[in-house]
Amino acid sequence: MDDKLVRSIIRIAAALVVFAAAAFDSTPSMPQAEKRCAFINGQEICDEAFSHDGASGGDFVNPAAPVPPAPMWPSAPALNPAVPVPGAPMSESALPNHEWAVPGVGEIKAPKVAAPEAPPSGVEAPDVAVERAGPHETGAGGAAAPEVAVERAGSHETGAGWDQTLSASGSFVEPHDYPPYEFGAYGIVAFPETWTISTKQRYLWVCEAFVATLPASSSLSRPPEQQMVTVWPIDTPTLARQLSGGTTLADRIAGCKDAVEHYDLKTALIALQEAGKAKGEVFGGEGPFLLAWSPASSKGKVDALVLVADLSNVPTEDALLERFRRWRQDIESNPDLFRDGWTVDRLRVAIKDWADKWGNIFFSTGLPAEKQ
Amino acid sequence: METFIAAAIEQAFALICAVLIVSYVEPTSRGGAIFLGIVSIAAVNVIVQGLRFILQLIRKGK
Repeated sequence: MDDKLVRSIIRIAAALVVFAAAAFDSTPSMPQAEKRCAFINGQEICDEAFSHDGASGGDFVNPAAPVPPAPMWPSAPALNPAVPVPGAPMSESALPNHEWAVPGVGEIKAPKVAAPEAPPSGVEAPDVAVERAGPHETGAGGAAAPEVAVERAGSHETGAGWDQTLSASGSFVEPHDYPPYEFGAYGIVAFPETWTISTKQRYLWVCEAFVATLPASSSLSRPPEQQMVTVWPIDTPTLARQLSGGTTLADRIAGCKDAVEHYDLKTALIALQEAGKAKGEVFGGEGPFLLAWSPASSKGKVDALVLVADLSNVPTEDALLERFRRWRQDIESNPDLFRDGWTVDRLRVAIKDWADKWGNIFFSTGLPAEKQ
Repeated sequence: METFIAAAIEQAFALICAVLIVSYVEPTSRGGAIFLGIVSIAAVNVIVQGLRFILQLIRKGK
């Protein structure tokens, strides 16, 4: 072979290695630090939970410390008096004070300011100004609520940045508490079908990952409007309340069997349908799909901001755990996730799921079922 | 001998690339990691052969 050719091949190889190394360093992937966990009072506490700073918005409660009696959702009273009763028609003034981008329009905005304190009962709060994208319309209503400015990113942006984030939480809910309007944003674990004998194990894995990664909404010290709750719909109200009342991780994980068997398919299908309309696509995989709306009141609206994570091709329990962990991290610290489009990190996750799926298929062929 | 050295360099390069890709993607299962490694080696080889073909075309053009 010609020396020149060998030299040029080596040069190309070196250039590609340098390029790969540079791409590796510059990729803004999520931190993958090892978690150190300990059991305190029967509950697993990980150092990651305490490492959240103000920027990432995490605000986990150490169960060893005295916790103020937090209201149990779904029976929690709405802190914002403008929040309507579930099922009641939404008014403009009832929108939580968060800023989000309309899909495909501009940047995502984090909640701009801290949630206003609820006024004492019987005190009429100032008027509410609601600003929306597009034509600058400002309406003043007479609702009894603190002064709230809701601005949607679009033709005008305030540039307030991601100065406050939501805390991710999880909850089991009964059908008529859905969607939970009092929360800043909410998501749902949506399966397109109920469990069968062959798929039940996977449903249990999903539930355990859900419980293990998302702290109960009632255990967080932040008010509901500063939480992004991901719900697991339950078809029986009493069971939903019972599962939501589980205080320890062991209780909640033990409840997964019931949660899977009483999964509320009707609620999930409605959510899938509405998310499909908003995103303009059909969710055809085996699921589950993690769907999120922000604000919570935008559910069902065609132009609503919907975040979708398709876990159809996530084959293992570990991978499911990681995807739920990523869901939580992204909710709390990564507004990029709410953008449509392509990112290096998304590509990485897609390749990982693809490799896990096909790797398991190829390398488990011929093994007995229990070893697969 | 030269051909052998060139092939060895190519395969070593493909192996390095595969290791980089697998360590970056971090598949959660062993099967996924092996599968991705194999696919990566194959893909890098295809790319290298493609580049070699292009280089040869350029040289012939000259």
